[in-house]
Amino acid sequence: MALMKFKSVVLKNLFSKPVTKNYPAEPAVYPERSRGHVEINIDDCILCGICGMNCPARTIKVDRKASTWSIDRFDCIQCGYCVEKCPKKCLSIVPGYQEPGAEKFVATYEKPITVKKIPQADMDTCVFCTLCAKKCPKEAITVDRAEKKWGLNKDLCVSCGLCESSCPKKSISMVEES
Amino acid sequence: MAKQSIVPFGPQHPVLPEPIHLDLVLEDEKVIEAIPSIGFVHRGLESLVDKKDFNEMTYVIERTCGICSFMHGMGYCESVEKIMNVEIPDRGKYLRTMWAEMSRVHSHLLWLGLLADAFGFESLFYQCWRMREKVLDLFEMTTGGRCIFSVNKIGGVLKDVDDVMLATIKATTQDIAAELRVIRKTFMEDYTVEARLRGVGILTKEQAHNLGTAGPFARASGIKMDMRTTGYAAYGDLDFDIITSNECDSYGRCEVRINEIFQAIDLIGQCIDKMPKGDIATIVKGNPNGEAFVRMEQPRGEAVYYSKANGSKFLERMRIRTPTFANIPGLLETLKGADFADVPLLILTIDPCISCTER
Repeated sequence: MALMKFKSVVLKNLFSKPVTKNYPAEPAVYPERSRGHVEINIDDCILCGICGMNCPARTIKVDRKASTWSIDRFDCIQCGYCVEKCPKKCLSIVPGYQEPGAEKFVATYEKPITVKKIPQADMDTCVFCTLCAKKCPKEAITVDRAEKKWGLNKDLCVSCGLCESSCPKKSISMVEES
Repeated sequence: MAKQSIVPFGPQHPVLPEPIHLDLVLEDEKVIEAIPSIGFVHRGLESLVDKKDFNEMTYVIERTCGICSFMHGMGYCESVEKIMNVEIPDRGKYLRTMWAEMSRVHSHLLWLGLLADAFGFESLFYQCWRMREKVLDLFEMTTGGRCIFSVNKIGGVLKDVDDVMLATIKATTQDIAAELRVIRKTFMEDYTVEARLRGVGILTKEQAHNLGTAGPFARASGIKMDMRTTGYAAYGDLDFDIITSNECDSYGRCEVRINEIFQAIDLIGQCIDKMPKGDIATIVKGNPNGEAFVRMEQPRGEAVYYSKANGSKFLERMRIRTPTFANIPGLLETLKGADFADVPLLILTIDPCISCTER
């Protein structure tokens, strides 16, 4: 047993600078990877809604008719799953936390309406492997191997392009809807 | 016989960061019996598997608790990977092990601070939390989060750690070890600290075994049990011994946890030295079908993750058995015969995590 074992720490603290920062007068410095809030590059967004469908907190809402993407930043848990799932990589998670507020509000981003792109399969090269149909998040593609038929429900299609990127024969291309 | 009285303890109490309620049956100042009741922060996480698919659940499960969040995510992912027969790349395993050990350092430093606070040593409490802050900064640098990391996924990890970051982690953890060696003297040798810890809350080896205790609480009673020796993640490649103490009291529990911080820092160093190159995750296809049971060593003890899947994207059943849940019977035994003034300290010595317990 011994007395005054903490003495050296006390003396060191007495003559050293405070370890805490004078926040908020001295702003906090966040590292590059800090998950502060989700940002969207709305020009690249195709409003496919995959982010909203996969959000564990269901905080992202995508309205295709109104052409808007919205997020309730107070409900967002900054997990980054939307960023991982986004097929167009237009979402990113960046440093800087949502400032507190007296009331929750929803941040809405409006996308200028552009011509919709839909997939078109080249029947000469298509092998009806059904990979595109399996990848489609909206089940808009139907493939019949026996009848050798490839079909698309244009209303369901969200132009995500996952079918194009998954096609092993490169027979799907995204074309403007006529 | 002295008159018995019942004193309610918790759910709100200065020593408790989380709510647990105990009815303490007292005879004068001696505790005769403690009757626990839990359920104040039950959130029904296990029922959410019906509503969130198995990939989304990774982010939900790691929010079970703010201290061992990394290992909750890791345990859940390992259980689903076991169902799907997915072998994750070696670099992914080493990164998981490194982050798991960093969690242990941060959890034990947090506990040491709370212990110091419980026996009334405020400046020692601040010193421990000052050191812990450095680990949180390392987590923020590598994962982007300070308490909730979101880097686990089914099939590996989401973020790689470059060589510069690895060097920073190694240097900072070595600094923490050097600072902890100074603080260790106060915890282990100081007269007043020893007076509060030695011989308080004795749980013999036999009692600890019979009551099914886990983790540092059991190891402080001389039980040589550590799930890391089963070799999950990269632990099979690392060199370490199980840390035990035969003190069987609060002093032993403090000693085990302090030594485990040094051990964890050594394991982080081993992980960084042996870190293999390559991918951090494998591509996982399809939905799980089957059931799996995974055991791993969290900072507080052995945790069990059970997942059952039926081939759809939603799991059929998911269950977590957490170490605090296992340690509550042991806690009640240590409280019997204790002084009323020692009750807050004894509750802390099991390192209670009520959020984990109630899920």
